[in-house]
Amino acid sequence: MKKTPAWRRYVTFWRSNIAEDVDDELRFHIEMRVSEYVARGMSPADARQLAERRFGSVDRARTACVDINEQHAKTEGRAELLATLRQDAGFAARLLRRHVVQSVVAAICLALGIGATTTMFSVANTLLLRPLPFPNGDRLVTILSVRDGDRTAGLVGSYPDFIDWRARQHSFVDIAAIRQTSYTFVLEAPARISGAITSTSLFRILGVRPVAGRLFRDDEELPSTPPTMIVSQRIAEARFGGTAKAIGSQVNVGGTVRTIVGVVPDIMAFPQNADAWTPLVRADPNRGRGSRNLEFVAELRPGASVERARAEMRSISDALAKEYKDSNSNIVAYVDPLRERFVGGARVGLFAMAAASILVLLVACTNVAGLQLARASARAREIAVRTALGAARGRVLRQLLTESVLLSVVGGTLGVGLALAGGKTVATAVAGAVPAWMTFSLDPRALGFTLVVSMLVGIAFGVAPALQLSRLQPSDVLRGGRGAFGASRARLQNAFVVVQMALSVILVVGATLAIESVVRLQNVPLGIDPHGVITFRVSLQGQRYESPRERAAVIRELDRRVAAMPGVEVSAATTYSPIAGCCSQFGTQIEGRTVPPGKELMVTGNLVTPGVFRALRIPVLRGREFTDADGPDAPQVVIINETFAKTFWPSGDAIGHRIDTGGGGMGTIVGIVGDIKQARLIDPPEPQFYRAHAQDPWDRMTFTVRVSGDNPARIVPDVRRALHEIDPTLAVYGAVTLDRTIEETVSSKRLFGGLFVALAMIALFLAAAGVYAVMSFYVGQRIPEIGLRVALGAERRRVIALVLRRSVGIAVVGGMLGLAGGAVAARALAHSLYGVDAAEPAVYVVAALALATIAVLATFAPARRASAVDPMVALRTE
Amino acid sequence: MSEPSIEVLRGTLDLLILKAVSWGPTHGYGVARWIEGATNDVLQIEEGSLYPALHRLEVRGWIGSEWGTSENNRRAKFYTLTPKGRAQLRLEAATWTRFAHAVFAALEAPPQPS
Repeated sequence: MKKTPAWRRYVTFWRSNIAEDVDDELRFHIEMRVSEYVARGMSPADARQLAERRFGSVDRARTACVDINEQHAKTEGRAELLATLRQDAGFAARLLRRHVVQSVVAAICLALGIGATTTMFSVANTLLLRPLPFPNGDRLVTILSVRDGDRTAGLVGSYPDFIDWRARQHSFVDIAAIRQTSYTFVLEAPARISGAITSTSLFRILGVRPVAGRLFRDDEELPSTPPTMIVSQRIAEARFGGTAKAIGSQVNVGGTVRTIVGVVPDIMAFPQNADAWTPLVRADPNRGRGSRNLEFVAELRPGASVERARAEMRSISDALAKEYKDSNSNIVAYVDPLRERFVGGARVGLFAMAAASILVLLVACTNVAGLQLARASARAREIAVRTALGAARGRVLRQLLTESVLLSVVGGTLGVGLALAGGKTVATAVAGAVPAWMTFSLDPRALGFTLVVSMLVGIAFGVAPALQLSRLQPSDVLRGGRGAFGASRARLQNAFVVVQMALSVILVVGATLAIESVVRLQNVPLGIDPHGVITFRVSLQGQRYESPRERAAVIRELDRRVAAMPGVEVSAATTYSPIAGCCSQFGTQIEGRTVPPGKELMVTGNLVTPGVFRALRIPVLRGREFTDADGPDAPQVVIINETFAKTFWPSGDAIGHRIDTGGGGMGTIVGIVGDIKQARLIDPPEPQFYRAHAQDPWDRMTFTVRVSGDNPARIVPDVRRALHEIDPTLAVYGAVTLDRTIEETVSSKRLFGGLFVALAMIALFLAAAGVYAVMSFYVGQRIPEIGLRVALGAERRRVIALVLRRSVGIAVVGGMLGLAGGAVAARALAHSLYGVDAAEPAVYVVAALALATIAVLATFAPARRASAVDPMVALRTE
Repeated sequence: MSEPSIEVLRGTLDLLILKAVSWGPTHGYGVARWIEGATNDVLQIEEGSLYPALHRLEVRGWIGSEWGTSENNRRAKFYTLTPKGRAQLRLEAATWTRFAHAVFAALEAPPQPS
C-alpha cells in the first residue's frame, strides 16, 4: 500500500482554498502575459484582450483544475483515515517491539491458549457439528439391537429382523443392512481388501453418485443374479488401471468371479474404511433370527424425528419379542443418529479436552493481563502526559485495546497453525480411529471461531489494565507518586496469579489422572505373553472350503509348515487373537442346568489348534491342553478359563462336566486355563471357552506364532510362500505383532494423557511466569524498605524469607482453590478414565507439589535480588 | 504567426511540461514560455489546457508544487520535477523519439517498394 506521509493530513487545511489557489494561479498567468505584451509596446487594453484570447476559456480551465484537486483531496481523505488507524496500530506495534521479550512471551502465551482452544473447536466441529458428507447426513440414523436396555453393548441385528423391520416401519425412507468384511482379490497375487456386504439400499440411502458405472440394482440381492461388486476410486486406480477400465472387469473374489459394475468416490469408505462392496444376497427370512451379524443404517423420512422413529422401532421390537420368544425377548431396536455410531464415545474425552484447553486459555489471558498490568506502571507516566496534553480518555482506552487486540491476533494466528497441525492428533486421542470420511481441515466456522476468540481475549485481558490506566489522575502520576494506583494494581495482579495457580492445579489433577489411567492400562495383566508373537489372518474362501475337513486340513497344514520354519518356537491358530477388539460369543448351556429363555449364557469362545496355549503362554491350570488326537472323530472336548470354572463350579470340580457351546455341540471339559483379555484391555475377567478347530473348523483363522529373536515379523514372507504352495487363491493378511496390537489399543489413551499433560505443563509454565512477574514487581517496589531493614541489621536470610512468605501466601490461596476445583474435575473425569479413583490422595499430592515447586522456582530470582540489595543504594533511590 | 500553428496532442503536452520543469522550479507561465521558445513558436498550445495538465501531473506525483515569489515579486505557484516524473520523462522521451524516427523513415522511403 502507498505510504502516506503524515503531513498529508494537513491537506484538509488547504481544501477550502483549492478554488482560490487555482484562481490565483490562472490570474498570475494572464497578468504575466499582459505585462509581456505591454512590454512589447501594446496598449494595456489590447494586451489583455490578446492574452485572454490566447488563454482560451478561463472558466473551463478553472473548473477542470478544481475538479482534479477535489477528487484528489477526497482520495487523500480516505488515505488519511487509514493512516490514523495505521498510526494506532503502528504505535502499538512499536511499543510491543520495544518490550520485545514481554511481547513475545505474551504472544506465545496467547498462541498456546488460543491454539489449544481452536484445535479443540475444530475437532468438536468435525466430530459433532459439521454435517456428515452425505447428502442426507442429518437424516441418517443407525439401528442397534439392544439387550436388556444396555446401550453400550449395542448388538448388531439379524437378517430376519431386518426383513420384519423394513416391512413394518413407517419412519424411514429405507433401511440398509451392512456387514463389514474383507475380500481376497485374486489378481496377479491374492490381496485382502476391506469392504462391506450390504443390501442394495445402502448407496441410495447415503445418496452416493458413482464416479463411473452404476450402483447396485435391487435384483442383485437375488441368488440367481450374476455376482457383482462396487469398488472405491482408489482401488479402481491402483488395481484396475483407472475407473473406466475397472467397469466390467471380472475379479476372482474368494473363489467367486464378480463383475465390477460401479466405482464410487473414496470419501464413501462407508462404514469405516471400506474399498469394496458386494450385495447382501437374500436369505431365508425364517431362519437364523438369533444370529446377529448385521449393522444398520437408515434414512429418516423428511420431517420424521429420531424420537418418533425410536418409539416406532420399540413397538416393532416388542411385537417381535412376543412372536419370537427364543431369539428376541429383551431385545429392542434402538435408533440413534448416525454420528453417534462413530463419535458417541468421543464426547466425554472431547469434553474433558475442551474444558482443559479453555482453562489453558484462561490462564493465558490472566497471565497476559498480568504482564500488561506490570507494564502499566512503566506506561503510567506516558499515559498521564498524553491525557494531560488533551488526549481524550476514550482515545487512550482505544490505544490500549488496539495494543492488546493486536497482541492477541498475533497469538491467534500462531494458534491457527497449532490447530492445523494438531486436529487429527486430538481427534485420534478422543475418538480413537476416525472414519476416513471425517476430515479435519479448518473450515470457515473454525477460523471464525478463532477470530472471535482472539478479539474477545484481546479485549478481556486488555480491559482491566486499560481501565486502571485511564482512571489515572495525570497530576498524581506526574508528581511522581505511586500511590493508590500501585496498591490496586498489586491487588489485581495478585488475584490474576491466584487464578492462574488455581486453574493450573485443576489441570495438573486432570493430567495426573489421565497418566495414571494409561499406566494402569499398560500394566493390566493380559494373561498372555505377547512379546515375540506375530499374528496374521487367513480366510478360506471358495467352493473347496465348503467341506469342514478341507478347512481343518488346510489350517493344520499351514500350521505344520509354519512350525517347521527356522526360529519358530510354537505355531498355532485361533479364531480371534487376544486384544483383537472383537470376538465371537456363543449361546452356551451347561449340562444339567436350565436357564429361563432370553437369559441364556453368552460366552466368548475361540476355536484353536493344539499349540495355542503354548504360543501365547496361557497357563494350563488343571487338566490338559488340546492335542492332535482331538480330531473330528474323537470325543468332543472343551477347555474353559478360570473365571468360567470359578463361576459355575466354585468347588473346583469343573473337569469332566459337559457344556453345549452352540456351534460345536456338547463337549466335555478337559482342561482349565488362565483368563486372558480377549476383546479389550479394560474388560473385566469374563468366562471364556476354547474348542479344537479340528472338531469345528471355521474358515477364518488368526495365526499366533511365537518366534525367537527380535523380529517375529520376519517369517511373514515365508508364510506367504507356504500358503501359496498350499492354495494360490488364498492370502495372508493383517500381519502384525501382538506387541504392536496392544500398543495400538493403548496409544490413543496415551495420546489423550499426553495432551492433557502438555496442557497442564503449559498452564504451569504460564503460572510460573505469572508468579515471577508479580514477585519481581513486589521486590522492585520494596527495595527501599528492604534496604532499610538490611541497614537496620536484618539478615539476608530473613529478607529471603520475607519474599518467599509472600509467594507462598499466593501459592497457598491459589492451591486451595485449585485443589477444590480439581476434586470436582476429577470426579467428572474418573468416569471416563480406566481404573482411576477420584479420591486418590496421591493425585492431589502431585498437584500440590507441582504448584509448590513452580512457586519456589519462580520466586528464586526475585528473592535473590532482594537479598542482594545494597542498603545505601536502595535508600538513595527513593 | 506566419505559419499555421500545430495543435498539440495531449500526451505530447504532458511530455513537454515534464521537460519544461526539468530545469528547475517553474510556474505555469514559464512553462508556456519555454514551450514557445523551445519550439520556435511552431507548437502553439491553448494556454487554458496547460493548467489542468499541470494539476493532473501533480496528482500523479510526477511534478511537485510550491507557492513562491515570482521574478517580479508576485505570488506564484512553482512546479518541480519529482524523481518519479524524471523517470517518466525519460521513458516518454525515448518513446517519442522512436515514434518520430519511424515516421521519418517512412516518409523518406521511396514511394514504390521494389
